[in-house]
Amino acid sequence: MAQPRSQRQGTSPESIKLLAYGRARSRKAPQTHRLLDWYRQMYLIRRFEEAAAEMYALGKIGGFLHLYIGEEAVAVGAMAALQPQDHLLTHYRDHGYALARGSDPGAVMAELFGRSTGVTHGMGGSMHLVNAERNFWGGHAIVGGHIVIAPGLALAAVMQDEKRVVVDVFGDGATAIGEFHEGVNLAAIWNLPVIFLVENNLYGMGARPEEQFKVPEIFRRAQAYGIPGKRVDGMDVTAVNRVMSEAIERARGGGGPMIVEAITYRFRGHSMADAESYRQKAEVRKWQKRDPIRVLDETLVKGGLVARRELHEIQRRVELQIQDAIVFADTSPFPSLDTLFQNIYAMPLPDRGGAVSGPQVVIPPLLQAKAARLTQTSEERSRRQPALTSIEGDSGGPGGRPTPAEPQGATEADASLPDRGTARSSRGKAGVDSDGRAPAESALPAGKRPARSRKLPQPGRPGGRT
Amino acid sequence: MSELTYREGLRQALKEKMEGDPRVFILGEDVGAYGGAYSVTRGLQEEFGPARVRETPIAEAAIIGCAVGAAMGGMRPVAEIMTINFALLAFDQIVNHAAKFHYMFAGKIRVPMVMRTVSGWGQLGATHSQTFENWFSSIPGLKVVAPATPRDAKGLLKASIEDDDPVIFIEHSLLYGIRGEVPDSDFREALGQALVVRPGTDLTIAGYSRMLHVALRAAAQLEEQGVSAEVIDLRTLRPLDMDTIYESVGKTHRLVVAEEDWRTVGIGAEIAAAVAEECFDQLDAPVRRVAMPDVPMPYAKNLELALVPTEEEVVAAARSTLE
Repeated sequence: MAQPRSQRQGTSPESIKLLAYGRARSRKAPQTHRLLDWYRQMYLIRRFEEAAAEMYALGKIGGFLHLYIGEEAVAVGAMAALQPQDHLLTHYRDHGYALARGSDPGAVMAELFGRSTGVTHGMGGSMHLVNAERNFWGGHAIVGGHIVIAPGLALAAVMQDEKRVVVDVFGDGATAIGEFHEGVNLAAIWNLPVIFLVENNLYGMGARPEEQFKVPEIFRRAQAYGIPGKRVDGMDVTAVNRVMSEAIERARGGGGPMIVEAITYRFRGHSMADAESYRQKAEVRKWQKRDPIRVLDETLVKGGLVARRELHEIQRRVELQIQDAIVFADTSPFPSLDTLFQNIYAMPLPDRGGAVSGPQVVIPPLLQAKAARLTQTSEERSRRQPALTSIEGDSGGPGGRPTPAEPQGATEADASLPDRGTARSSRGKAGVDSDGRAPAESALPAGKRPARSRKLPQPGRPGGRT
Repeated sequence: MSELTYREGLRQALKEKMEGDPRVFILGEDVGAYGGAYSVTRGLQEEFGPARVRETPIAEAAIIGCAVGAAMGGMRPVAEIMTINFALLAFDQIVNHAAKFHYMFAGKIRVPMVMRTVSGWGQLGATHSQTFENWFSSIPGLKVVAPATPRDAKGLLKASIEDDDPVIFIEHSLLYGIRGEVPDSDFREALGQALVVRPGTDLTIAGYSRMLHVALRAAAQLEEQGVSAEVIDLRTLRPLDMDTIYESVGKTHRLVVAEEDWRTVGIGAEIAAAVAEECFDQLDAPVRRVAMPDVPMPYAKNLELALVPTEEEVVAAARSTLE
């Protein structure tokens, strides 16, 4: 049972021994264009997640929704250290990884919406994203389950003489599971190219590391397996990238596995159902001062590398991307009944009257009718409450040239991160299109992305809550 | 044709697949120098080297998880789990991972792996005498195979290794030494197909693995009593080849299922329910099940043997359908 808040000591940034962070070999600072790209990715993830929270509140997204807000620097820094051929496995807090690995935000949002255009056509949902073209082999929702799968992927690469490295991402909580021990030990004895990237966001749902581990410094456990372990500041994208680059290239060169522990913090609850009774608001506020987007913002602007308007321009483009993603998801069809029995088997056996083996199964009429009814209900509900409100005087209707929206950060002060600007909620703003048509009614040609015609609610404070 | 043991059939299948396909490799506890707890992999590490016959720590989740990962990465792993009792330690990997990936990731991931494991008993006590083919058989995404003969041991294992889905391949510890004719050619036995191994007219006995042999002995006894029993070897338990059973029941109108799993929610329960649903009108008598009583296995030899179903029970069940 969690202690009452008052009896628990906060976990502030200062209480984490920064000296324990592994010191990376000195390298020259990343070039400005890389930093800007990382800024763009982190801002994209932040806004994607804020939009997802809004869509969850609207009922567009169901089930569990685990937001990555606050942890963006880990995914972005780590993914920038990968080569295209490298493999990625992650936990269920996977939206940020999917985006940082180059997945289309529209396809990811459509998956969250449970639509046929989603990355798994509505089969996997938020926790089971995938991108085969980018060697992203899944968000995995059984805590720790994929820690034993990573060595297998790495072994396949080694046996086929491929120079691939596997990055396997999981949280601090997963390191208490038996599969952590089994997987790390196997990778160690076989010297496999696996980087175990532990996102230590200081809470396994609501349990702090000290409540779960006698040795809460997770990277130190590497010693027990005879492999290196390193801790890195997970709020600093450059530091994450540096440590992960070293780890990955070491593994690629035959150096074997490594544990990298990134200390980070989620600014939102574990999932949308989390009342956060286990921590105090003051603690969250302290960590928000180390918001990874703010840290990079300061490096870029106060460091004199770019003018603030360049960041504004990035933010403006991201807002359009997010709007696109939402409209795309919201106007995409629900998956059809015939996909229900597909892909149970890669090699379906002939139907001999036993268990369902493949798509040749005869769908019972009752199931067919039930599915048709449910699809219709879902579509009608979706039409009644579109995801985005219309933009007044929108000149870019469906099929038309999109109207660029105004930058969301109206002034420099508003846009500087975080803790400035006004948090606004958009709940209850949903309406219909400016021409009165609900988005799902606009017949979209196959493969055509819907035009940007609706305005996303104002962003919440980056680094804060909406 | 050559006369081989069940064990030799399995070993030949592994050897021939490894010779012909560089993606095939073996991993498991004591599969190397030890030769496997039941000696199936004996000599294979010497022949193919430790990289392709991989000794693992005692870590079932890692063995299956590693096989899943390697299969995703383009290999065709054959993972040995020393006995089916230990498969419970890998159940998360089998059910939540191997069985789910192809569907959940919309066909973008394939998991062409085989988990070889062993059922059986012999004064091993409650934790080492179980069999869970009914558990695995209820999972969409898995294929479950249980060979009864040396020919099927070889032919079904080769087909399982060539299959693109995760296959649970359940051997029987008391069958490793049995001998039988095996073709010398490069043959396969198809998954998902039962076989009528003894034709008959009065009733049908469906069995698999060791219970097939019990069923055949029972059929021989019944013949002496003037009863003609048709015997079906199920061979694959998921998906079940119900058509072969329906066809046989259409002819004999009586059915006995012989199984070694616990009676409650066992393979026989599924078959009896399906027959009741699909060909109730064909039945002239209730379907009978001969299964392990719902008791954890005791150590004492007399009590253990009292539990294990034999031809005596099968004959009695068969006769009860004729009364």
